[in-house]
Amino acid sequence: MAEINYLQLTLDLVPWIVVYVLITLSLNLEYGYTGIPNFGKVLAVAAGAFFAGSLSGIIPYYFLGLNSKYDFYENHIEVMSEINKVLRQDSWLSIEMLIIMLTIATLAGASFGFIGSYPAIRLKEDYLGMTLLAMGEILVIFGYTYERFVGGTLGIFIPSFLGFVPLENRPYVRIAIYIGIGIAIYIIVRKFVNSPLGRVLRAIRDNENLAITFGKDIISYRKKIMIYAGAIAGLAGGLLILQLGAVIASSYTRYLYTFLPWIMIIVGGTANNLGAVTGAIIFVTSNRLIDVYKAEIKEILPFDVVWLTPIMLSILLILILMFRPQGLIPEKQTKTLSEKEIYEILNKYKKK
Amino acid sequence: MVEPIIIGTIVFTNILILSSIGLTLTYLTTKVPNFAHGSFLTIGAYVGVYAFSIQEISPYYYIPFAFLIGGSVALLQYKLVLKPLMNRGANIVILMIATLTVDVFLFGLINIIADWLTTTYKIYVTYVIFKRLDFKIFDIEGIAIISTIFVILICTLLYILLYKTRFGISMRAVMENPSLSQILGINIDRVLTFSWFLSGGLAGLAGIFYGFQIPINTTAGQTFLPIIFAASIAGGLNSLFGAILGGIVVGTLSMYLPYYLSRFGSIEILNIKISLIEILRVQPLIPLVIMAIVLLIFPKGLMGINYSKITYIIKNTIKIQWRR
Repeated sequence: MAEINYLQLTLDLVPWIVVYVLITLSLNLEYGYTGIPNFGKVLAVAAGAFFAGSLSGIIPYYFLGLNSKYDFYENHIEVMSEINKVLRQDSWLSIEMLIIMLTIATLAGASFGFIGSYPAIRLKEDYLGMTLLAMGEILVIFGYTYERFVGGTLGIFIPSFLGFVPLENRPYVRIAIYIGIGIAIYIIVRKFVNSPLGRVLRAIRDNENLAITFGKDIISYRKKIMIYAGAIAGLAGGLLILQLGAVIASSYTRYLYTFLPWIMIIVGGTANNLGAVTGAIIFVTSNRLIDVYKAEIKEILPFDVVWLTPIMLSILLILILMFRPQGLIPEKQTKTLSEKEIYEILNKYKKK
Repeated sequence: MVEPIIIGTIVFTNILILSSIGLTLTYLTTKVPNFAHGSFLTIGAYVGVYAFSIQEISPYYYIPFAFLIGGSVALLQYKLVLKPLMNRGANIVILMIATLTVDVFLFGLINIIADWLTTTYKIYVTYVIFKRLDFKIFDIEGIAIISTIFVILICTLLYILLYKTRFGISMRAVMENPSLSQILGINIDRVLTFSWFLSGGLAGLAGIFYGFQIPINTTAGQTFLPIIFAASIAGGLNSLFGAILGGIVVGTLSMYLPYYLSRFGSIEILNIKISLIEILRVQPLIPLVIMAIVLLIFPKGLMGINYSKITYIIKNTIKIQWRR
């Protein structure tokens, strides 16, 4: 057995868990609560990652006056080392840049959610799924064919925003940022879903015509949800590049950012935020453990063990769809007044 | 001498027509968009790789095997995954997730097979292209002729099947209204089984042709899938002839148009210089852009346009002009 440093493993895992929790929460908002089958989840994630990744380098590149000396894409390493040198000395600038980067990611995700909402408000479920899946590829293809956006197939680095923190403390600061953002988004989504708006969304999902009859403008609700969910997924993209330190367009595959979030919410339970979080934690952890123990299994088999993961995951998902479609944690009933309270109110009216 | 871009356009269009016929067929009968359709194409392509790299013969001889293997995989998908789920009353989104899952499963399986071929036969199985074993007639590459013959043959056979035979009538009835046709005594399961087998088989066939044009990779089908969707959606998804039309439109426009435009070098519009050569770089985006434009103008696709209305308008305008 290989020696595993559990502290190191946890430090590696938490950012990934938070990224996937955000993606599953946004997918759950779209599919679980509103019933929009978004098979192009990768679009908003990639939008957040690409725009934040390129702009967070380009903004300091112009502010520090590097454009007279270097070309951003051709002398990329020199530009990045100059930017990092400045950021390492100025902690406030680093923090500001980090906040700007995450804001750009959120806005980019929201605007691509808006673009995705164009078909979402008009088409039926099956048509919509296909259109969103095809649209999801657009940005990724553009990213790796057009060099002057995110560096084509080579990719670009992002400035190291945590360069001012001493090296031994850096993982802890990073984890604090991730957990803070993760908990904040979870609370916001929970409040959102339990508000009257959340009940409207569930009404739209369960019976569109009934919602229309009660005077709800379902088109604008769907548009709003696509924008909010896009913003959360874009933020996840921003956090993802903060963890990776680089943007490589070809790594934004349909498997990683559409299929895995889907399997997480199906296993955890749809229309249930806790279920989405559980699913994300289970899958990210098991994926990483498989990676760790991969070396041991490798010698027995004539192929790369990596490919066993998709096979196992897909068999598991089919079995869950067949035998437990509601997931590990089923959707809770919406809280209504208890029987006793209803009778009290009725009696009050009877007396009058 | 025929320009290579024309050969490329013809072959690409034929591949696209074959795959979008299959996708539209299963969509019409089962009402599920099949996200695993691209993987059937990869399976067909790897049957070709087996013929090309290991047997060292032309992959044309393996067309029947590609058809059968692709068809049986599609059949297994229907029998083992979709049918049990349908019997349990799964809704359309669950079925879509199931097909996405099958796609991931097949992706893993194809990679395992590719790795196994590499370790046992010591050959390269990625970025293979079959051009070396292709024949030539009067400077025209054989693939352009063979694929065109196959497309015409298959379209004719499908027309005869759908409109001249008893089974075809029952197929069309299932496409129109499954529950009503079941009441009339049509065996829906037989129709679905046949259409899934045919769909997978056509994708496998397209996979063999794909290898003659584009280097084969294990992700070939997954990257090709959005283009198949674009063609089928542009065609309208409501008839098989829409799939053929969509394949022709998307195939020719996405291959020939950027090449044609890039010959002009650069143009100036309002003093802004636009370099048209850049279009070749974003060529993979063109099918998706076509799909978006078609959805914007004709939400029901090219076959959903009310052509009689358009001809009526045109006739009227001509009449008015003539009167004047």
